[in-house]
Order: sequence, then C-alpha cells, then structure tokens
Amino acid sequence: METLEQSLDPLRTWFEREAGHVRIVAIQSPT
Amino acid sequence: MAWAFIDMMKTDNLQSATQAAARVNDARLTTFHDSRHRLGRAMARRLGWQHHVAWDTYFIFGPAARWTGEEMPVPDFWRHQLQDREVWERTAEAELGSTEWTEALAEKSEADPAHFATGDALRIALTEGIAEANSTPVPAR
Repeated sequence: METLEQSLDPLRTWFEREAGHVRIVAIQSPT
Repeated sequence: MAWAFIDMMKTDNLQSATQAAARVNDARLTTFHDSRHRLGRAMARRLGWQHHVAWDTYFIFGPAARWTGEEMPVPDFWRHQLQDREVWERTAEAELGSTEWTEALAEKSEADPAHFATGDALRIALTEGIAEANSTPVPAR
C-alpha cells in the first residue's frame, strides 16, 4: 500500500510506468 | 489498475484500507491510501467539481494518456456511484412532489447523473470504457 499523504507522486509514477496501456484509477472508501 | 482507498468514513484509516485491499489478490493491482483527500480533490478538479471530493469514482485512461503536468490527465471515460445521489433518490419524490426527480438531480450534486452507474450497470459501463480506451491508437514516440 503506497501512501498519498505527502503528494500524488507515487500515483503519478505508477501512471507513467504503465503508459502505453489502458489505466484505471478507482477511488473508494475502504468501509 | 490503481485502487485508491480514501478516508471518508470515521472508520476509514490505513488499517481498514489494508484490509480492504487484501480482499483482492491480483498482481495487476497497485493500491494507494489517500488519507488527506489529495487524490479525491485532484479527481474532482478534473471533473470540474468545485465543492466535492471524488470517491466511489472510476477513471479510465487510454494508452496514450500521459501525466506530464501538475494535474492528473483528464480521463477518457469515467463513472461514479456517489452516495449523495442515492440519498437524493430516496427523498427526491417527497421533496419535489413528483417522480420526475431526475430533472433536478444536476442541481443537487456536481456529480453528473449521466455518469452515474452502480451494480451490474457499473461493471458493464467500465468494461465498455476499457474496450473503448483500448481501441484508441497510441501515437508513435
């Protein structure tokens, strides 16, 4: 589990790493 | 797929997010914890929402999408299943005195009702969105 507490950089890194593929970003409450 | 857990309810925290993430074991998933609503607000901004945090919301990006600026890219396809609409549905008829509650939905929420889906309808919509995104050509680099 990566934290976005400080910035969105971890998500941005994932997004760019997966460039060239379809990407889905889902956001949900865990409960 | 990026599966982000945002703290919205009193019981939401890193522990409950970790427990929720453990329900699915799929190497294609990367999980994130959004305790300070950074992602929820970023997604809301991309949808033009001024007053809401995005949650129960799904963005699909085609292969050509890049995150080069400060803000995340605008999605090629999106759906939401926001609770405020469901609450509104339960009270709308009494409030409006009419069954034509969908006419007023846009005034009650920034979450565009045309992008609302839940249950099987959500699954079907996302499947179609993924297929559509997959069909978009990737520009040569």
